[in-house]
Amino acid sequence: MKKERVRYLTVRFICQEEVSEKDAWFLLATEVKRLFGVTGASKVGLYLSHFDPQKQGGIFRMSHQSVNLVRASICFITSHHSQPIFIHSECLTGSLKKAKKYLCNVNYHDRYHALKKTLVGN
Amino acid sequence: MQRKFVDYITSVTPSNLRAILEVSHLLGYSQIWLGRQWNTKTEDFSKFSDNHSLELVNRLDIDASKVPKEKIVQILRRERRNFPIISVKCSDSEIVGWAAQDNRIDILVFPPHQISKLFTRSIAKLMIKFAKHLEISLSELYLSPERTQIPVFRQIRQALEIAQIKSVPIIVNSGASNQSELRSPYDLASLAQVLFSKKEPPLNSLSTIPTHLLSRNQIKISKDYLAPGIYLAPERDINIQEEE
Repeated sequence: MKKERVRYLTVRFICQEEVSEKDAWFLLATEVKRLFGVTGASKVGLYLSHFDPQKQGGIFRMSHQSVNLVRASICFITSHHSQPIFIHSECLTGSLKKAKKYLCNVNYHDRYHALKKTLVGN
Repeated sequence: MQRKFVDYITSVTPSNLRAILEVSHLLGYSQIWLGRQWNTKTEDFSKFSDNHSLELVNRLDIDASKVPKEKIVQILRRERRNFPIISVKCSDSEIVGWAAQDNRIDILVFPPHQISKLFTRSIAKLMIKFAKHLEISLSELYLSPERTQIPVFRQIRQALEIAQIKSVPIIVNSGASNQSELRSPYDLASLAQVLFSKKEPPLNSLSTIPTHLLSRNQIKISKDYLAPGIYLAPERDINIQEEE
């Protein structure tokens, strides 16, 4: 069997409340399943590889052919525990090591704080 | 070369514009089209873009369901040279047929729940003939209530299929009215790809197609433009020719 090619998507959760690892996974997985159904979600192969609660960022692993399905699902997520949430997909990489590097990148972190300040207010 | 992404924002007020521009800049947009109604006073928003490298473009939006056709003709006559982009939101088939043939209109917008009824193959042919663009605002899809998402998805998909068959240029944008409705250009392109059923995300619909339309119209509304293909030559060139 041919080895599946994967991609890692770094996302940031911008919400008044802190988002836990479980919530991060649940938010995206539920939306993917709602939009594309069980068969669609099974093709995506979504998996939360890494989550940093301090940076409110997560790295999701998915099949390289279904990156667009995950990104499309991100557009539809607007609330979490009846509070507005904004999910920002930062970068797409081919390796987990690089994705972690992006998550720790100062420029991306500053951008996240600026977005949070404008969208949430603190 | 890095892509220049364009987004369109509706119903802008100075109070929320600063926040919208801030978020747009952080999401990676470089040009923002600001939608204006024909009866609102045009304000100078250039001071808002000083902090960012964003280019702001005024766009006139005419809602044909609120304005009678005779009035639309008057507005177009008066405002064509003041706005680089003019769009008409069509609500019935008579207006669609007329708007698709009027050279002063650049973009046709359809209500998402009626798009497949109004945007037919014959309208697509007319739009190609008269160089019109079809606009899809994706916020109407991702912000709509869950029960209406399925019919809206279906209607937009049908319309996009016709547009792709007839090669009508499609502009995709968020059509957001506040900062939380904005999405990053790659997310919008991915959602558009799901609707388009294409292999590649339609990034051109968010970047090259709108920028080409704007540059074409900026030439059209410039003082040197006389008619299609005819421009006023600079005075210096005329003097050189006379000397020769």
